[in-house]
Amino acid sequence: MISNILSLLIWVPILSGIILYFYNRNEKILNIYNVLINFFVLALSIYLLINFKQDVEAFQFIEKYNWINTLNIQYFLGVDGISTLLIILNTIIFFIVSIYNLNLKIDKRNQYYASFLIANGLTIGVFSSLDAILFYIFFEALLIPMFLIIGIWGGANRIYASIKFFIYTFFGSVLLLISFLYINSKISSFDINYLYDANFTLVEQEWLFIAMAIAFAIKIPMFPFHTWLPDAHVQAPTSGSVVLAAILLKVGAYGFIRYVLPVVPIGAMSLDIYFIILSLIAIAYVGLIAITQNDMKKLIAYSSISHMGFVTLGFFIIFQLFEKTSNVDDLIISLSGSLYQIISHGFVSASLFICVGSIYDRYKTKKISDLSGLLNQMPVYSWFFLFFALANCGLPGTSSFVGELLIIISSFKANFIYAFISSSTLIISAFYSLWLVKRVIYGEIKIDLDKNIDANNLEKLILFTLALIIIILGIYPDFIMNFMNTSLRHISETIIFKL
Amino acid sequence: MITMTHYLVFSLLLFCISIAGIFINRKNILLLLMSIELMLLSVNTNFIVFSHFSNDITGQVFVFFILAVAAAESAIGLAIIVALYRVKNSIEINLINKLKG
Amino acid sequence: MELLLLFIPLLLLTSSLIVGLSSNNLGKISAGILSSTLVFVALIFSSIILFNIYKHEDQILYENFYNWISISSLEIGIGYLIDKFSAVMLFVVLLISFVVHVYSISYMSEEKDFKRFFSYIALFTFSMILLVMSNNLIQLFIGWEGVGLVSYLLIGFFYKKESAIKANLKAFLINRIGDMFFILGIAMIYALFDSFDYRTIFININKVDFENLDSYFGLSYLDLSCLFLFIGAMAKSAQIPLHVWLPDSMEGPTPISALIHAATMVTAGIFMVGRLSPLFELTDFTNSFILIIGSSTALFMGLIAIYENDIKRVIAYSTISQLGYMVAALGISAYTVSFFHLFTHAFFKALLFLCAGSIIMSLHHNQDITKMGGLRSKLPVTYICFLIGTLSIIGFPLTSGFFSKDLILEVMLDNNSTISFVSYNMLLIGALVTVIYSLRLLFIVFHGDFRGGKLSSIKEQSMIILLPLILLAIFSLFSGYLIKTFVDMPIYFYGLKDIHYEGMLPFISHGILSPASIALITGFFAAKILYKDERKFKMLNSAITIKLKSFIQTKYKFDELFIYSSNKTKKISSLLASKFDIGLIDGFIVNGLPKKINKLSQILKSLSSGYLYHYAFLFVFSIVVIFGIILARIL
Repeated sequence: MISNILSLLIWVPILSGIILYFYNRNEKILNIYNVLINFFVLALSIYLLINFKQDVEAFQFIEKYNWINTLNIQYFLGVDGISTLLIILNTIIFFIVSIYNLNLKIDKRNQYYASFLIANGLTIGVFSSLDAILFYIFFEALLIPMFLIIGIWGGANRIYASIKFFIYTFFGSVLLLISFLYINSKISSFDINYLYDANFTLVEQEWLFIAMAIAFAIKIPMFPFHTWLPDAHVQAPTSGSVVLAAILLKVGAYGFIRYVLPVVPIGAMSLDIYFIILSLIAIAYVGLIAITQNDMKKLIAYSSISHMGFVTLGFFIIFQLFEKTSNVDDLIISLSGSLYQIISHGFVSASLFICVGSIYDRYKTKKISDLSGLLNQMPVYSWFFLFFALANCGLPGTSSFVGELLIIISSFKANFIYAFISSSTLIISAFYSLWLVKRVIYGEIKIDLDKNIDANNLEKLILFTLALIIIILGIYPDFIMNFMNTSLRHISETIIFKL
Repeated sequence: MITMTHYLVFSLLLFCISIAGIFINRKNILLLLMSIELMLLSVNTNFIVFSHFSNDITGQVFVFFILAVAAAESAIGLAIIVALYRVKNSIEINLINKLKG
Repeated sequence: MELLLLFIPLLLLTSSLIVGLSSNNLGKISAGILSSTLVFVALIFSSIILFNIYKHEDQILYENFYNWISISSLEIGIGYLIDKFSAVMLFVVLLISFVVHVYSISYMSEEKDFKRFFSYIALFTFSMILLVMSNNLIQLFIGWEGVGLVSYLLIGFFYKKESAIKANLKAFLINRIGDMFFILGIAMIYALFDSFDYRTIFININKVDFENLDSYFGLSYLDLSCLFLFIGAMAKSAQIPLHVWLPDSMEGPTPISALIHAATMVTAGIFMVGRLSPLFELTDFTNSFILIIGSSTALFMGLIAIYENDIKRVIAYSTISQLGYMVAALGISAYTVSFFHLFTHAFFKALLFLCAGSIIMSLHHNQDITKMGGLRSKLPVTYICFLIGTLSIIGFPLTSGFFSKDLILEVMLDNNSTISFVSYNMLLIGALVTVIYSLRLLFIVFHGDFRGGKLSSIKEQSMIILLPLILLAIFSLFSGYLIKTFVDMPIYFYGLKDIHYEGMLPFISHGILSPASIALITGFFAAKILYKDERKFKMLNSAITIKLKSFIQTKYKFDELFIYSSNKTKKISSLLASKFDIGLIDGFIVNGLPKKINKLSQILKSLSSGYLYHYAFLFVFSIVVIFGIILARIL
């Protein structure tokens, strides 16, 4: 049993990233070093997964040291089922990205790798810190490597996109910090367990809820705070997009379930209708917008926002569910749906961005109108692309179906209209995904690159792994459900207890 | 009989003249320096007056400090002006607006 | 038995995976033979199951193979519920699938993507079996989506053809419209029973207090949930107005049209309603709705077939029309009667499609019937099979279609209500229309003179093509005699409809003397005069008939409706993107706010001129003001 496993998970990638930042000689060593570190982190997280006890309600692998006594700030780490799964998602995605990066031809390779390594460690920090300020520090610090990745290795309009990304998120973070400080002024602690026990008046809860919810809504992103995402995705390099879609958005969702719903449930309950409406708008309206995008990355970015709408819908209908049925099981089902959607979307969007990135590497364009009939030239790629597009529109057998199904059936229990609007995604997501496929994959070839440009072995391996994960998650969701169940029950009971 | 008020009014007048000198003067940077000196002098007058009427010698001692500092200050100021003149071939204030936003 | 039931889907899945993912080592023919063999084994298994189910009365096999999801109270499994109803369906699906597998070995042999094709049809059969075997709504939905997916892939099999990839997108989207309602219906049922499981639902159905449930839009809870489920079925079973994808789906290879778009997948909607019949039984409004939709589909889609010139499209429209018959029968709760027509229709429609495939092959991929004619002498076997199929579909006495269609008409007449009487008449006219378009096809293709150049080069296809035809022809001729089985068939434990049936001979004599026979005879002569003898009538050139004809040829503008709405969606989408997202949120708020701040700072900037005396003035001025304020406060 490794003690301090969480600290290792956080600091090994960060420190090795910093080392890498100053080393720039042999490209081969760089590549091997980067993959090895990422693999080490992945192995460590799998070790965490194996040793995690599913039926224990409390946080596990706890590390707790006083850090700044006068301000009640602790270095407090620990995980429950939810965070363990997100850490696994994180390490898998970063490992895949590190392998994908081997193919790239870029400047300042060492610093590129370093940024990803640091982001890897920081994200694990976000998912495992149980002290609000520690969480905030990781949450904020995560902006820096992402800002660099977009701003330095991005596309033509990268400066605008990175600054927009930065300011948007920073705006939310300030609100988050204020609310944490306010909570501290009341209960003199940033410890998550004290946060869960704290009681606030309705007005306090409403204000705290608004401030924290906006912070996380920007990160997820929810409509109308979503416009940074398409720009950031379009400008970011492929691996940046992958990390952005698969990991960064999930940080926002994680914030909701860890710091908003259980801490200020009454405030959330009194304002939930607005957030439900925003989620529904995200699902239907943003999905509609995705249909006519001409930039593939933009299309996938909008579809991500639409899918994240499901996540927030699943979060916020729990209060109405509780009012209607007062059965804790319904809450758990809805929350499980949201979390499943988070994990599934992490893999599906990552795969789609990798596909688009590879198309861009070859054809030097992401415009749908420039492309056609890729199936003729790169069949292996195209079949994978088709598969991921189908996964994106929630086909049964793929992971996305599980989350959408659970949320649709839960939302019907809450209200007929919610279910009606959210299920329209079946049509809309099929429209944008498959129309994209029709225009890009099918048909006659438009740009004829006169050589064999189909996926090489490395890319085949990556795509195959991702496809396999998506299918396994689609046909064996119980693995994840069992994992989350105890933690979700604990959170739901905390919420109900405080209502 | 000359009371403290007279002295203070005198010092105030001196101070106002120096301020007026700073912002009415738009030509010569030397005049600016002289106005600043004048301002210091008016402050010094105040020190002396208060020290005299309250029978405390500390104020008058302090005036010497200020005079010394003012001398050093004007020496540095003049040096800067000379350096400026070498660069710009002019010491007109109108031309020195590098700080314009 | 349980093991056999597990093996059936597994065999098909393995077949699909092996053939689909194999390298070039596996040759075309061996791949075809391999997957046909696997389907054949599955077929044998299913016949054992069918035999066993019929041997023991009242036996229902029910089990979960696998727990798909279990979160606290919610449990969704993958398993099976086999009663007589689903056992028969299982057998039909596997039989048609096997026949099509064999047929395709020859039909698709020229194709580069031969193995991909076989992988798809195995995957299709797998999904269809998942659907048929299902013991809960979610498994049904998984199979439902699965068959939709494979249908999408197969319609777009020739992915370079613009029309094919348009058709498959259309098919998928329209099916998704249905699926949206379907899943809503499932959600409603789940909210009511807290379970997806058929058995739990059927057991608890009597305990639900339907009076006190919410109602929506003036419909009772159950009415609405069944209506939603039925809208799902409408898309899959191509009922007005969601039928538009089916004629276009003929872009796919012909064996697919036989397997998916005639015999099995499109009947999934019928199967689903039958499976959930204990629920549908309790709804009034929805049943009337089903009846109206079904009978109008049967009549109006048949009319279109009269004016189509593409051989596959004629058969496609006839499929839609026949599906209308089945749906109409569902509307009066005669589920097993509907299922009987599904059963016979599967054989004769698959037969017609496969014959069409044989003709198309012989004519080198010509599908236009105006360029055919007189093929009777050149393709004798195909002709006879096609003739049997045609006789079946028009309900010629003693063929299978005669039994099933007559039974629907009789049950409809027995049902004493105004709507069902109107529907009866519509279906009767529909029967006449069926006779006309079917015989028209027969006469134009096989009789008269050849209109497409030289006749001599045309010859009959190989035995691999013909054997399946003959097998299906036998089933088309004789499957009708199983009428008693279907009349008595319970669905789950419910023998729902009391069907008036006194035995074979009275039924036949009654059928021959019924109005349907008049329709048959009238139709025969009309078709013979118009299309065989090609006589012209003045009456047919009158203004009204020409108007009527051109109205029917527009296909009632349903296609235009869908093109319009999809274009409208795209327009709204780009409008929203440019005006709202980029214009309002990005332009006005996100980028607008910094612009405003910029402007403000431009104004403030002019305060700092860079002149020392300005600063000094400002400095003194502010001191004066501040002191002034302080003084004013003190005084």
